Amino acid sequence: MNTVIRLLSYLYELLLRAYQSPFRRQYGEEMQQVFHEALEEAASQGWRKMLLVFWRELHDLPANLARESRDGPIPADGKSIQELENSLLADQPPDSWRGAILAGSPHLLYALGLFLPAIAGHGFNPLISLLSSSFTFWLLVFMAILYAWKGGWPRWSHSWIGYGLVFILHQLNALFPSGPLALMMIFTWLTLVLITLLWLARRDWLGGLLAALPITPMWVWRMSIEGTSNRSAESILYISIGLLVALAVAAIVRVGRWQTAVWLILAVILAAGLPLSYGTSLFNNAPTIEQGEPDGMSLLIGVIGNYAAILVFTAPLWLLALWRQVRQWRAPI
Amino acid sequence: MNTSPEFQTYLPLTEVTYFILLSLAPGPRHGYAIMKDVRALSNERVVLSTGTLYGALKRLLEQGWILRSRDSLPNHNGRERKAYQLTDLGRQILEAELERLDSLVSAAQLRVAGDAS
Repeated sequence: MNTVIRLLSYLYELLLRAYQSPFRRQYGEEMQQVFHEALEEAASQGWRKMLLVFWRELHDLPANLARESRDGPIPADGKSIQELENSLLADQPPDSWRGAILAGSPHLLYALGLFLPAIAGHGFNPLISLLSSSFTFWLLVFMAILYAWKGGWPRWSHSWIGYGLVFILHQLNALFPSGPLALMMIFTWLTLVLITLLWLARRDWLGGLLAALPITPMWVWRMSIEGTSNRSAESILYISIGLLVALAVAAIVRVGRWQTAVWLILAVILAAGLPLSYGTSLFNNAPTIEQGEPDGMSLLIGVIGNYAAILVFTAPLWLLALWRQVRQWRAPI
Repeated sequence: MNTSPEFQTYLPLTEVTYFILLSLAPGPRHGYAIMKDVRALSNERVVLSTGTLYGALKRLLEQGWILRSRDSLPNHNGRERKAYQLTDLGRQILEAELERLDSLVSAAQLRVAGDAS
């Protein structure tokens, strides 16, 4: 039970980061104490009651955040609103080649891990086994995040943070495969994603964009792999997409300009999204004895649905880019 | 009871504000005690999260309806706690709200009793 209290207290500490710093400074410690006391009392009634205490915090969070933003001034870490806007929308200094490669590599490694075995065939190859082991990949993600934490979260680390969020989703899926608890966990995960992305975007909006990227193709990828991973031609296509994403991310980090980032990501989503979405739709509409081959219309609806999901995930970042564009148009000449 | 028009501008109170002020009416309380008391006062209907509670306490402090002070009793971990108490203004507003609610209930009772007879 103590482990659950510690875990929930830690998650609560993360939630508190979503509040503005002045509010957090003034009430954060007290709120943590009160939450801890509520958890301890709930512990005597079982772990479901404890989850309920945490759920209540999650449930009220969006309304509370909106109210605090509306009522109080919004100095984020001492910055005025104008400074915050400018820092969000300013072009970033170009990163080094090392940073660019580190930022792009998880995308390629993930694609290799998923699809390399299908190309390599059935014979044992230690290098391919190592590369395609999910344990190796997640260990790398963990080490990269740890290294980035010690180094003050450089921009390259944001891609890895995105995969870290995906790892948490994998674990939650495995622990809670179905039922109301699974839904609650998905909601918790989405909240965590939102808070992390906002936190990253407030520090460095380009970084936030990079962290969102693993999450978007991942949803599609995870589903499409199950139906197609045994075909080598399709696996080569998917690895190429991984390479494309990796190159685009490396270019974004190296160049640091917001226009480049937006156009490259748009190109990647369009280029990568179509075959991946098609693959997913084909998988979801797999021919059955009763229904026969899936028709074109259901495949098209599937593709559009997947694109819509991708756009919803990246919506805050697109809106940010759009906002900047509008501001540029309205600026006096 | 206070019927001053200046208090009427603050009324009606939101349910959360009303229960928090009511909880502080007998004397100072710390955050967790307010949370539990609001739950009990509302027959388990209003269950505050810490975010909602402290958002409301912050606004009440800014409006000068409550005060924040050091609690004489630390929690079981020995950590110092903050206590909240009503100011005169807060108490007057609570009384004005009670009077308003009382007049609403009286009007309803009169009408219901009249209909029945």
